[in-house]
Amino acid sequence: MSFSKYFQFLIKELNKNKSKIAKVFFTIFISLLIFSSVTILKNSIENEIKDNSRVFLGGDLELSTKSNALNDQFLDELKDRFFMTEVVEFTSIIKTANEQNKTTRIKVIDNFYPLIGNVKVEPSNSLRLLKTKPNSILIGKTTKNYLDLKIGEKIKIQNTLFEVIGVIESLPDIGGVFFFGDQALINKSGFKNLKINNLGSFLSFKYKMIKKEDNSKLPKKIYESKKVTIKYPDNVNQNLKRTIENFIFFLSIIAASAILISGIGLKNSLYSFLSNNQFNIAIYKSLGLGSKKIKTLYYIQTLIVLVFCSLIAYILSLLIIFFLDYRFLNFLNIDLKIKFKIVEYLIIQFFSIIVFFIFAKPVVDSIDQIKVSNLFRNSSSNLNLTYTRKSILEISTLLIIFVFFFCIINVKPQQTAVFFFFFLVISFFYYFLSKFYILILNKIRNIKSLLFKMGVKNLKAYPSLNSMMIVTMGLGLTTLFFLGIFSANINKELNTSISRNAPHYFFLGIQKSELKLFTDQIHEIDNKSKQIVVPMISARIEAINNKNPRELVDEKNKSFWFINGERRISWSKEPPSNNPVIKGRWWDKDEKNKLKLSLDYKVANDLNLKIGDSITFNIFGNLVSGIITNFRKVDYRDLNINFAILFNPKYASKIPHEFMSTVKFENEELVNLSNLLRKLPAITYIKLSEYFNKTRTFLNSLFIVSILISAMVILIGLIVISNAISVIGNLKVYQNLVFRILGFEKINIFKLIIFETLILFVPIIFSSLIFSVIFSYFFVTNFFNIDWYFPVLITLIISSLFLLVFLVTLLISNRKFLNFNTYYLLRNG
Amino acid sequence: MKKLFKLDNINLNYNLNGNDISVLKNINFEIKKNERVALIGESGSGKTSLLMLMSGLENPSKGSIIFENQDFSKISEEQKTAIRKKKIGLVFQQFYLIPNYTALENVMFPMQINKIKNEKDKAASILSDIGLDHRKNNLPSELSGGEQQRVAIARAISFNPEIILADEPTGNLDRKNTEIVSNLLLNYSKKNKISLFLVTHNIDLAKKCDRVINLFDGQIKN
Repeated sequence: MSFSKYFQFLIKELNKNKSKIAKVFFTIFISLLIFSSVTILKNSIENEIKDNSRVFLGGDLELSTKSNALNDQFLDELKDRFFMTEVVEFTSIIKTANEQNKTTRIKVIDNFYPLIGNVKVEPSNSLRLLKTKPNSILIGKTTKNYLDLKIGEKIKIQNTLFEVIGVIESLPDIGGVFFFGDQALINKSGFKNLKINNLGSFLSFKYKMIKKEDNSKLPKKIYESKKVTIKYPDNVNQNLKRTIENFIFFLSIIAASAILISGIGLKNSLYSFLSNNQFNIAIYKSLGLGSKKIKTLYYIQTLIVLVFCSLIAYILSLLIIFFLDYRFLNFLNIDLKIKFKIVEYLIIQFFSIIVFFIFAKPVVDSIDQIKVSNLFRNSSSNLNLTYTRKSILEISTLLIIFVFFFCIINVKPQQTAVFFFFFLVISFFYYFLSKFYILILNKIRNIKSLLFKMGVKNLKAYPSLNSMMIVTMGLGLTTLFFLGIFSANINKELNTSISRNAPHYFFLGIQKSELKLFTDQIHEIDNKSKQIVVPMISARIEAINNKNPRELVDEKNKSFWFINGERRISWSKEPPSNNPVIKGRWWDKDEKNKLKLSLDYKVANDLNLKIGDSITFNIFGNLVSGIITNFRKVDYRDLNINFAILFNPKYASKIPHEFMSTVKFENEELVNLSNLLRKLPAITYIKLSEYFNKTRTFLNSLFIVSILISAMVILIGLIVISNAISVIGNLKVYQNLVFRILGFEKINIFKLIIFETLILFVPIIFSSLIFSVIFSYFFVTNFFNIDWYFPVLITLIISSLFLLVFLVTLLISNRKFLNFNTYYLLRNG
Repeated sequence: MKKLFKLDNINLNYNLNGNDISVLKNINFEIKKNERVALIGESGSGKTSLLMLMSGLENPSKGSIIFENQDFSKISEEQKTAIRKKKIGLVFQQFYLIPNYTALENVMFPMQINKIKNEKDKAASILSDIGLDHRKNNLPSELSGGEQQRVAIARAISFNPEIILADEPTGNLDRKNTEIVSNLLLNYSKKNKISLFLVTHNIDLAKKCDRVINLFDGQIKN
């Protein structure tokens, strides 16, 4: 056959089979849609962060110090080499004329702010006005709405009045306060009127810098200073990046599940399609068309549809993400740039083709089994998926290529590889389970019950199909259970993240002289409130066992935060009731001149610290060394007062300190802090419910997007499973029709189908439950670091849903022979 | 002789693409117990359709089919299935053996669903009687056309039905196999006093029956 004739034939065949092939590709199209959407979303977010990280930082680099500004001489030295803007950040409370208040992160800016990027404000000239007008303030949108403020109104910070001259739409340097920051801008003259010197204000001086020349370098001494932290654009968005990476990783895993499950779906549908086309293929063979040519014909037909599917899926995904960006993803605070990228499309095409060959190859190869002699015998045989050494090698190679490339383009290659490892282990388990089934069924003899006998006979008669069914159902159910258990765990974590015993407020920056007044004020607000007051100092760790801690602890260490920057430290006579001592002894003998330390056990473990080790602190410029005496179990999630380090009180109480307090009111909603804040203007507070609402809104938004995509995958899983069930149903239509004609009752045929599938289903539901429990436990505890629990209700709901889909699909796929005109159907094919 | 089947004014119409097609028109006849009746007629004359009605696999548009005093139009689908299971043996031109069952298992199947004991021995004995002892463990795809049809007949007679309805049972067979299959059907019917309703193109075979009905264009021609 010439190429043109062959091509004509191919197109004609494609046209004839288009509806059947479209059915084959339905599941793969949906999964490609999810895969494309996730890839586009992931790339857009990554590009946005990468492109804008200089803007997020506010310059080429940033120097920051706590509490004190850099000295003028040093600043002049820097100004020779860099353009600079100084930004002072602190946390304080904004109060309105009618005594409404809100904790806000305030930025004090100079005339050069911002060095790069744009500040969007309303009215547009208000930033310029802020730089010249004394005691003026620009407030964030949330603060404006929360306090119901209008432009021109006066607010108070401590006891100083500020005039609201505009509203901030967005700031460029959002690196530090990405999620929770209600921000405000004031100028330097306004700042001079405030007394910001307590620990609760989290004061920080930041110097954002742009190089004057390409080779501009920082003076060497800055690297030696322990007081100054240097940030570059690459490490500005670590928190943001980590959160988004987790999100993207979760989505990628969902996408990988989708594409692999749909690959199995494709295999089932293709198998059904070829089984039904056996007669046509046998006729083509009888007319002289070779097996190889027929295979090429099917490969080309399906590849044409696949390329078309991928293109449509990619374009549709662009529209979906574009829509999502405006509706669902604005919580990420990023404007995504969505456009057609040929490389992105080719990556999606590449993966779809590889998945296609992995799953379709053994099915298309079964064309070799179709014999022309079937035409003479007026009979057909079941297609078997045989794996030769060559085909196993080919499929393994393709699988390795798929996993390798999928891992390297993912944000977390190792974790992604772990996921694929699990996926493969489960696939192999179910494959071998199916073989084990056949082995067991072959051993069963002398069965009395006719239904049982027929069921076993049918299961033995379709070994390949049953393997596919077991693998599909197994993987599908494992994924469904995994997603269900995983979601339930995340939900529980969200719902229980605020402990019942958690206080309502944290008050910071209470001076010794203000302590009585503060306690009285709280008592006045609510005399039944529970108040805990502890002393607090700030110190920096200078040495551990006389060695620089940065030489001992790697930045990747989970407890690196402990040695990085200033630590808040307290002291206590008795061990805190929520922090039990688990190793060592509490201070038996509290000595005035010896510093003893009590440490968080987890931190000590991460840093490999032992009882008897020494830690040297810098407290107000003095170096003091203490000996570790005991370890405590600290659970920061109970949200009560938890310190990683406690000192022995007799030594510590002589250090200048201030106090912090937690308060749990009887009824949080009735609390009015206006009197307290008027009398103690310098203190700051954190309202836990407000903080958690913001966290929860963010996590919920992430969760909704994740659940939407998970739901789609669950749907694909159900489609694939129902497809597998209907494949069996369709292939048995002929046999069941003959049963009906011979007088086998409809109810018995139905019983037989349910019985057969239950023989397969019951062990699968148990093994998939075990797998999903193991997998979700591993995932939840290792990657998300939260406690795992088994959600019985969710598991029951998923099982029932599955059973429902299962029965409905059985009824639909078998409706042909359960209906009346059986012989008519048989006669007319 | 006792009356087994009575077809009273049977009409069968189909609607094909909006056009009414009359397949069977005013069919009236009876079949008695232990009677062998042949139905002949040209292709498309409605022979198979008539057989479908008699097997309870389709309902007539008009008229009634009475089998042992039970009107097919008045009983449920499941009752008709039960009649087919216990009393009617069916033989098709295309054999319709169960592909995954061996010859022996195909023959055993009606006995199993009728809960007849020693079904394996009985099926083996029937297959031996029709000369297929050596093929009993073969699948249908491993049998010749003649052998497949003999297995189909063995299956139809295995549970001692009241009547065998055979749709062109020799239509796909050569002369030798036609002879074997037709003798098998007629002899078994006579020996066991089972009625036989035979749709055939083969005039010689039809002549061996007690009575011949000629169907022409959906009507019985005398």
